[in-house]
Amino acid sequence: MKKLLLSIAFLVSVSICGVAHGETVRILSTNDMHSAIEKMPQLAAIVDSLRAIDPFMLVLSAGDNRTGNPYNDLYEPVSYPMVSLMNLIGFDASGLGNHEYDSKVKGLAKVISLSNFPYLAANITCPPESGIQVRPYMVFDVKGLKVGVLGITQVGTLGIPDTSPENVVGLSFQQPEEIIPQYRWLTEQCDVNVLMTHVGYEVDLELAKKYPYYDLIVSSHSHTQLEGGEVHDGVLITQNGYQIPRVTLTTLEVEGGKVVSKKAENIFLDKFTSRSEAADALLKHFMSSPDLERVVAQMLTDIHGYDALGVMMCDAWKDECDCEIAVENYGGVRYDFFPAGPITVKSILNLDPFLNSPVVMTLTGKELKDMLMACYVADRNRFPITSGCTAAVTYTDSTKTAIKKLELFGANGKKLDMKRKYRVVTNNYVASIADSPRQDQGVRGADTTSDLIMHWLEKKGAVDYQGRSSFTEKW
Amino acid sequence: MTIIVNRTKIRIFSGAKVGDAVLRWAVRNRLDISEVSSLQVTDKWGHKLDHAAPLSENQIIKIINQ
Repeated sequence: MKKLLLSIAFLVSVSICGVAHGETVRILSTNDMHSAIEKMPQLAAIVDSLRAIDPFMLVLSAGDNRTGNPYNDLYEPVSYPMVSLMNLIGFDASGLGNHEYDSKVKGLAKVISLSNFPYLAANITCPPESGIQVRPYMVFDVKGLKVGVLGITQVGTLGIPDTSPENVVGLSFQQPEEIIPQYRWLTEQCDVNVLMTHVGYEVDLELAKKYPYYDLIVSSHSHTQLEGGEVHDGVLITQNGYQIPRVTLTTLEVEGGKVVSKKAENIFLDKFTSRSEAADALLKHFMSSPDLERVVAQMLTDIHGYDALGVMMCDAWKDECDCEIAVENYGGVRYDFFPAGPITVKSILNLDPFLNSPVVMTLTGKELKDMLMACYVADRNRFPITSGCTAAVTYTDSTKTAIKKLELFGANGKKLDMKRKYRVVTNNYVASIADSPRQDQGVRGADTTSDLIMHWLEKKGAVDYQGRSSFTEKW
Repeated sequence: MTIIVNRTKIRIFSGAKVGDAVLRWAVRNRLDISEVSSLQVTDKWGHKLDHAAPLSENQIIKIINQ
């Protein structure tokens, strides 16, 4: 540990002593932190150590601060643990990742209002009624130098970030190439020019080629693990994986209003055993949040067996995604007993713990049948659970290792029409492992499947699934 | 959308992540899917990617410890 602290101090002090005529600008950057609140005490200690040597160092996050840990994502207000820890660390600015919109417009406005740092995105337009305060850029004064940081948020092929359209209602977005040239004037006024993007490494390579007058691109979105930084077309690009395995320390030497040298190094969080006591205290507070003990509904009777709980999960997905049929892999149900009484947020997260997302697709009856068969094979010969249809499964023998005959019945009890199209929801796991022929591969939703169950249970108030099953078996 | 995993074209749902494409690839190659989470993946330039990384149309990824 002492060695690591000394080496960080050495890195910084060498550049302090080595610059006779210019100034040094240091930027510590993170990306795609995805609610990694448990790592924030180490990050805080790293920032404290570096700021003890260079108090002017900027700390930036290129976006996707949330989504990835229920302790953060289900907190009320949403994402407050992450924001509090970022406030404590003293972030200077954050980008807007596509997952920032997972809080929907109202939630994002709240997150921003709670943050002690600005959110930067030049290619978003937020009407005043949205309450979202985003700046296109910031100019930081670092030892008398002007450091300009222009933010760019991700915009997908549909013209919105990769999130559910309902999460960005009222907001409008422009492609980076339409906006970045409009800020050419800013780069002419600043000594150091930073593009803080949430568009992914591959797009950043194109941006570096088109706009080589930027000194640095603080990249994110693609979770690309770069070894330090890479220089492309004269632009230094940095990015560091997912949930902060490392952070990037970028050092830019400036002389005569120009960056004359630049380098980026990675600092490994897991090798930095020192932790901020203040951040640890905050983390402890958030990890003991009563939010996860919140009761969402009542289970009216004891439930025994995976089948019944699986049917309940499928009913929730089907209703919440406005579908006719839902499919869940048998192995995706993690309880075989649920006692009568209160159903808490925590118990739903344990029932469906994989942070899976729903995938909605339109399938013919035949395509659905093929998908169920493919799921059975890939899920270790366990037939999937359904809602909106039932199945009569005949195996070749008692080992259940092969299906001889499969019949599907609709909600009305009649045989499912093999030619009719049905709107079907499953999770991303089933949609991936069920490698069967189908025209529509579907679209992954932004929510988690456990979110859907919670919302559905809250609306229901009380449920009873004892003895429910979606298929019969014989051989 | 289409993703290329180790030179194999895979059609998968929009919004799929690296882990989803690797699962589909593993099923197609009759591998044990319980081992999939330990597979290391890189982009076409050889940078490591985690399984939660987003994918885009026609993206090329490589599994390096199959």
